[in-house]
Amino acid sequence: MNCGVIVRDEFAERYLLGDLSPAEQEAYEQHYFECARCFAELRRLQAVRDVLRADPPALPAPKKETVRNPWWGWAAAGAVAVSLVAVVLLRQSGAPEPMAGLPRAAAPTGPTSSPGADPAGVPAVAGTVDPPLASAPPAPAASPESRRVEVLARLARAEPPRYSPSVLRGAADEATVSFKEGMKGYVAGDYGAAIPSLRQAAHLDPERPDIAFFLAASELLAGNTASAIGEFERTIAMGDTPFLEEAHFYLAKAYLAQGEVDRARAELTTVQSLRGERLSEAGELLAQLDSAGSE
Amino acid sequence: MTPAAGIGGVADDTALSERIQLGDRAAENELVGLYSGRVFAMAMVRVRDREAVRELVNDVMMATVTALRRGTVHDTARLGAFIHGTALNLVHSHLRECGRMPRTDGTGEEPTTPDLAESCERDSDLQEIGDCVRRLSQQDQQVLFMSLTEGLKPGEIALRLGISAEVVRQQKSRALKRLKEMLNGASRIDSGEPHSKR
Repeated sequence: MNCGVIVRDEFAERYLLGDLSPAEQEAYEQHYFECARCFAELRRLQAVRDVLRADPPALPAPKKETVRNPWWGWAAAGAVAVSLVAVVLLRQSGAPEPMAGLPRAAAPTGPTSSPGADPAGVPAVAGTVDPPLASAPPAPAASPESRRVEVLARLARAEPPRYSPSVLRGAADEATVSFKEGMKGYVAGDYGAAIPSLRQAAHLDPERPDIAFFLAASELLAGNTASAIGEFERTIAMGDTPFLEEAHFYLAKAYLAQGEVDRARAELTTVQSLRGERLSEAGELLAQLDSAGSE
Repeated sequence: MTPAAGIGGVADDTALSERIQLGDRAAENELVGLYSGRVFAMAMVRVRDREAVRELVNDVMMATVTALRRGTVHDTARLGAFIHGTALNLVHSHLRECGRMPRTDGTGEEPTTPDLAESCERDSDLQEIGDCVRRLSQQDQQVLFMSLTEGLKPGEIALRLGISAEVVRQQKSRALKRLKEMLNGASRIDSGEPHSKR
């Protein structure tokens, strides 16, 4: 690895975003331990990111085209927005605060005492929310509550887990037939269409972790967060399967979609302890939650 | 780069290592000043706990100085590689055990380390960079924010801003270049103190 490759392939930015493979990450670190210029570039980029987190610019609301993107799990983001609007309404009606994981945001103690913006765009929340904001979409110069919704919606956003169909010889059993049928919809990005067949497959063979996991993922991506949580928990309960780490990771996403930050945090910590492919991503999410909660 | 720098921007730390082996405490401090920021950065990526990372930085620098004092570092021209390897081992141990590494400095002496809080947290730098960022256009800031903090790709940013992905790429590149120009010569991050090697 040399400086030219690092600049050309944007290693510093991808490193900060946790987008490098473990091998790339280690090679990049080995380089910047010996190269003052590349380390300075990394520090500069990191500092720019920190500054932008601390004082984020007003952003335009996401456009509808983005929501219709078939590949992304924007459905989950929509679900979290709905959930969090419900949270706002519950708070206004005096119901218990479900977002205790964000300490400053969770303390409805009257007017904001420190009005500065926070690093992750989640400022301290005043005790009251203007009623129109509960039904209004996020907008530039949004209220603290809607910005919090925006941050959590962003963190809850999930890409579909990768699916590699296995080729089996001989006649498939009924569960496998249903599973494959459901996964046609999944691969096409039509998660709602995938769910009935996957549920049927899960009913026929409740011990198969792949079926449970992709059913859970489909539920999450279709916006059925509560069902997704149940299925991810079922996958996890099956023990040390190839889907264990992913199930914890996506369960965290599901909890974020529900505004249950503490539970999401616990799942992400478990992901870290498993030391698998989602390690850096889980760390990044935890760091963002920390930023959101500590400011 | 510096007079002591080697080929391709990789520094040669032989002289520094020799001074440490001869018991030069100032050289130990120099070493810590040069590398603690790097160790802090790589440990934070993995551990995410500032307090734990500070302890890890101390442990790594302690282990390095101890090895240099004892003359057990074989390739002293590539201290960075040695420190990186040491840091990886200690960070992995920390993650496995969720505890601190025991300090095993057999000499009973500890190197005088500068205040890591000061060397790792760079409020004044952030202030300066903040001033520069605020001098960028609103759209430049939006592009950098969505790219660096949200991890959005140019195509996704383009959708949000109603411009083309190519324009996003150009805008991001120009904004970073402008920031670099604004900071050039003014920031300690660029001028090499206290983290950058020479």
